[in-house]
Parts: sequence; structure tokens; C-alpha cells
Amino acid sequence: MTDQEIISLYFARDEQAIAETSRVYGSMCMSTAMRVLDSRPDAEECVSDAYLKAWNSIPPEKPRVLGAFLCRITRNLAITRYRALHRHKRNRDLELSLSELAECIPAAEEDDTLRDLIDRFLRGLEDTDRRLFLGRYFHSYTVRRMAKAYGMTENAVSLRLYKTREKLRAYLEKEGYSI
Amino acid sequence: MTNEKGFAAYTALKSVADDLVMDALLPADGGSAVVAPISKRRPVYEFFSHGWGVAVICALVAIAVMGGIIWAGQQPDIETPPVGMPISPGETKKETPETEQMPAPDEPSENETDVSDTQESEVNAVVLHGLERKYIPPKFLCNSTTLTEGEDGLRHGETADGLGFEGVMQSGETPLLPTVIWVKDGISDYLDVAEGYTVKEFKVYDMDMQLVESGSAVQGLDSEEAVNRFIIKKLPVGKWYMSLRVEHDGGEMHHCVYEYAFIAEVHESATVAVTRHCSVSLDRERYVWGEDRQYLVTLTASASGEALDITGGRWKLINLETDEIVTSMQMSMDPMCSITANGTLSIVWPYSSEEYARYTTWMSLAWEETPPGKYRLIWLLEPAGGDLAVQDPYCDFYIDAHT
Repeated sequence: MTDQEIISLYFARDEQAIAETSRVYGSMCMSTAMRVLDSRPDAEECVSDAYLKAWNSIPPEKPRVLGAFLCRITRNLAITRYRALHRHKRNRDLELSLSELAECIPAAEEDDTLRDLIDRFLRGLEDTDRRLFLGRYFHSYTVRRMAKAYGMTENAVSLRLYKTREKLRAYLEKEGYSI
Repeated sequence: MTNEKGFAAYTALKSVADDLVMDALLPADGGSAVVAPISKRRPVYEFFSHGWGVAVICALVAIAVMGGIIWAGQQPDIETPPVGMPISPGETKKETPETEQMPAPDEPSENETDVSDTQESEVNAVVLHGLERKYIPPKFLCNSTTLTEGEDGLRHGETADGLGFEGVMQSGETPLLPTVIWVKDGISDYLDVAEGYTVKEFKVYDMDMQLVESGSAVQGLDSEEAVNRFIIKKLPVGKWYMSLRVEHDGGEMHHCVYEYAFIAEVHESATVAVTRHCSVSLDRERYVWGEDRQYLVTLTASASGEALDITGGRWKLINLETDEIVTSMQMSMDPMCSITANGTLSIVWPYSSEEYARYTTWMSLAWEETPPGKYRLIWLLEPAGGDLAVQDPYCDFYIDAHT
């Protein structure tokens, strides 16, 4: 079933929409949540919440790319849940990636200008650098996993990420942001 | 204490455009962008990022200049041809020497033969059967299904009795989870271990815990990939208990030992068999962290299929130098754990069904309050039938002087 067909089910308020969403994107949502929460029960709840949120959001929203829409919802819910639950038991890799991100992006809530700048910066990157950056800092893939997938060494991935962070930091500072 | 600054930075990143989000997904998660392996040769900028790289270049330039000066001093004075004058016919532009040819990513090595289409689809079907529940990247699995020729001269998959073994250790995740698939007339009978990991030992027991076979890893054929394989042959149809010791040698402080144990069933038909395995690990690199430094020991237990009915499990931590069960350390633990009077940590196994289950629990040892020494952590798995009452797997770890 295509994205458009699934979205049509949402618009028709047909609960089959959830089943189809789960069938097509369930695995992606689950692994997205697992990478943040590292707990199957928590991840399952998170994915359920994501489906509910999708159900409540569509309509009126009509996502252009359903996969990205669900990925974003799941990721955000997982982060929220992680912050609430994991005061002691931490996902070290996630914490590390967030720390690295804080080195190059200022803490800003709902800043459209910043969002556009980041978007422009990412589009200007070489494909692999952009995928590595978003893979690490959006999808929370481990360096090791990306190294394997891209046929690189872990050091090479880390180096590329470092250089991209430095570039982004310089770019945003040039645009007047203080990091 | 969570990373508030990082979360705030993430807020700015979370609105990144849809197409970029999807583009960065790895294929295993449904990403459409096929990740073409990048040449393993070091990119030029990496070379230049090191001081010695620049030094080498400078030295080469200096040698070339000096050579040029010496050569010029030895030549008779000749007039430089004017611009536009053709060079002599004997001179041709020297071709840039070809760089070392790298094999195409999918090109099999001399010792590897790709499985035929039929075999591949068969194996993929086997693999995909358990895919949803095991979170194994399909690309990784597919790439692993190759026939190899081992040191014993046998084409694996053609063992004497036709029984094969295949295992794939998930890469990129910690702790690693081996997935074990037994097949009759199997395609292959080795276990690939992720890069940087070494299979130190394997043992096969029958269900009465009598040792049937043991051995060490067969070093992989492609050392560049750091592939380790071990080979098991001649196991008849039935249930077998296996333990596997894997080490990750990342230097003194990054040294990890993983112990796996699982029950595998050898079936008549080439279908996925039941697997049940669990592991404990201590990763000192990851868990020495921040102000509240601690050792964190993680257990991951997984099971799937009809044989699963695990009702509980227990930790036991022993000081190997004194043989004492450790109770005095300050421990924190998962909410589903409790500590008993004799120092055993009990956990409530959250699954009791035929469904696949993966459960990770953890405990941490306070950094300052854990004296240096040698410790063993034992995980006791308690299936309902009581047929796995063994003190394996275990994890030995050492705590050196606190730094």
C-alpha cells in the first residue's frame, strides 16, 4: 500500500490505517524508538503513542512523506520519554551524540531562521557527509553501525562527523549565532 | 542529569526536511538510499589531517626540487623552446600510474563464492523469517551468506552429513546478539563476527551438559574484514546447548568480553530453528561516565520460538580472588530487579510466552566503592522446564586501580 493510500485511510477515519502504518513502517518506528530508549517495552509504548499521534494529526495534516513524518513523531516521543524515564539508566551513546550536537548547534526553541540555515547547510554538504551527520544526530545510529553500512572505519566516520560539526558551527557563528 | 543543552540543540535539528530525513535512513530501517561502500583507501584529506602526512609531502617536494637542481646542473645549456613549440616526438605525456585496483564491493574474493540465486533466496527466506523480531539489518545478513572454503578444505555447507550452521552476529549494536540458524543441507556453517571481535572459544553440549565439541575460532579468510569463523560439524538432529566466548580487544581500557549461550535445534528441514541465547557483558569504555562514574553491567537475553517459556533469571556477582559473593558494594539496578540476602540479584522476566522476547537489564557498581579485583558475574537463566540449569554464561571482569 502506498503512502497516499494509507493517508487516505486516515482521512476516511478507517482504523485499518494504523494496521497498514504498522505493517509498512512498524519496523522503522520500532528501531527508531529502540535506538533512543534501548528498552523493548518502552519502545513498544512509544511506537503505539506515535501511531495515536499520527491518528490524531491526520487529518488535518497531510504528510508529504509519511515515513519521515512517522520517524519524526517517534523520535520526538522517544526523546521525551527518555528524558522522563532515564534519570539513572542512560543511553550513553545517545547522550554522547547530544553532547556533540550541542557543540555545533545553539540551544534554540522553534527558531525558523536557524532551522532554515541548518537545512541550507545540510543541503550544501556532500551526500555522504550529510547522511552521516543526520544518521548520527537525527536517527541516532551508532558510529560503528554507520561505519559498517558505509564501508568505512569508525575513525573515518568520527573524523567526518567532527569536520561537519566544525563546519556547521563556523557557518552558524558567521550567521550571528553564538554557540 | 540529562543533557539539556543537547536536547535543546536537537530541537533545532528535528525540523530538518523530510527528504533529508529519509535519505539518511540506513537500508535496514527502510531507507531508500543504498549506502554504497566507500573505498577503504584513506581519503586525501585524512592524510593531510595528520602532521606526518604534511611532513611526507614536504619531504617529497624538497627531494624533487633538489633533484631538479642537481639534474639541471648536469645538463648542457639548451635553449628553452618558445611557448607553443611542439615537444620532440619521442616525448609523450606520461600516464599517471594507475592506483591500486580495489575489488568492487560485491566482487567475491578468491576464497569466496557467492551463493547462487536459488541458494540466496532460500537463505534470505530463512533469515527474513526471523527478521521482524530480531532487528537484524537484512542487508548485513544477505551479504553474509557466502560459501567459503575453510582450512579443512571443505566447502562449508557440504559437510559430511549435510548439516550446516550459520550464525550472524549483529553489527553496530552493543551488546552483540548472535542469531543462530541451523539448517540441514545448510548453505554455510560458520559464524561471522563483527569487525574487531574475536571468537575465542566455543563449546557444544548435549542437553545433559556433556561436552560434545569444543574449539577455538578459525581465523577468517579475509583478514582485512577481521572475520572470525568457527565451524561445527556432524551434529545430528536434536537440541544442543552452545556457549561462545567473544572478545573485543580495543586496548586495555576498551577490552570487553561477551559470553553467549543458546540452545539451538537442528531440524530436518531447512527452516529457522528455535534459538535462545543470553549474554552478559561489561563494557568499561561506555560506562565510566561523568561525575557519577560507575561500572554498568548489562544483560541481554533473547529467546524466540516454541521452546520459550522463561520464568526468571538471577544475577550473581562473585569476587574471584576471595570466592565471596559480593554484597557490600553499592549497587543500583533495574526496577525489575531485587537483591536477595545472599547477594543474588533477581530479576523478573517480563515475558512468558511463545513470542520472541528480548530483555535487557542492568546493574551498576559504584566506581569508587568497587575495590580493584577480579570478578565474575553469573547469569542464571530459569526456563520453566528447568532444562537449562547451568551457570553459563558468565562474564569475568577486572577492575584495576581507579584512575
